[in-house]
Amino acid sequence: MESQLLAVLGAVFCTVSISWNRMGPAYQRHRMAWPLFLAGSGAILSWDLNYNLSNDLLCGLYNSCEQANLPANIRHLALWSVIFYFGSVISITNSGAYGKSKTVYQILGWSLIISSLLLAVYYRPNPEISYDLFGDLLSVIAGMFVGMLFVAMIVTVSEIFDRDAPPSRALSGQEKDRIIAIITDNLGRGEK
Amino acid sequence: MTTSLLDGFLLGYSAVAFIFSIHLISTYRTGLTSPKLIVGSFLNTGFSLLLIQDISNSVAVNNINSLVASVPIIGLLLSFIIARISLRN
Repeated sequence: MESQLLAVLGAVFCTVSISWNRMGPAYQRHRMAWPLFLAGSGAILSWDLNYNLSNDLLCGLYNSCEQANLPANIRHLALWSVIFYFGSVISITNSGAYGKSKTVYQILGWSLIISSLLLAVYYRPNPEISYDLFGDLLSVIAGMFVGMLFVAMIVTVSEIFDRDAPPSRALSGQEKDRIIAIITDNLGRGEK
Repeated sequence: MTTSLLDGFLLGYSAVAFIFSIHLISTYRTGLTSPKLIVGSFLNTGFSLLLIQDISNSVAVNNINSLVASVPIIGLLLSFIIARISLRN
């Protein structure tokens, strides 16, 4: 299989994993979300990492291999966002909102967050920012915004047509056990 | 709107439409997921993909580059929310 096609599939897997983590019939599919995310990430990383543009994901898709600086930009994004993610997780899970606030972990978490943002802003592979880039950015964001509005409209219209749909089925025994376990776990954590 | 800006707009729109369709398929539940929602989303995705098929290579790459370059702004905004959570005692 071509490496760029495999990488596109990897991106789709990551999107599916995020969906399974957050919504839907989570009790069966949630267990597969993280393995799927790892598999998707592995597939994305299957493109050539030695800056050989001819084998890169999007240059292969758009046939623009000689002019794309996308690989460096995407790797830079992956690097700082992973550091940001771990810093956020360490900071949030050790905050007062989830038990007792731990200063050492807070310092560690915030060091990672600040480092990642400094890396993102000051050590970019292509530091020049032009008006063209700003215009491109605004047009893409405007398109995404209108796309989200249209998706919301599709959801609203489908809900209007499905207003007489029967209520959702009752929770199964396994689902009830899972919810009880989550509530008990959270209540117990608050008492510590 | 110039051709380049229109292309960027269509790329952003298509990305959202495509991601929403993947989300619907991956969270599908027989009898619970609305068929009208799926049909509407697929039509939206198909139509948007039809519109972007003639976009030039360099325009597509430039737009994706600009989007990648803008992600630190999201990180900066998120850091304010994280600060609010982590300062809670």
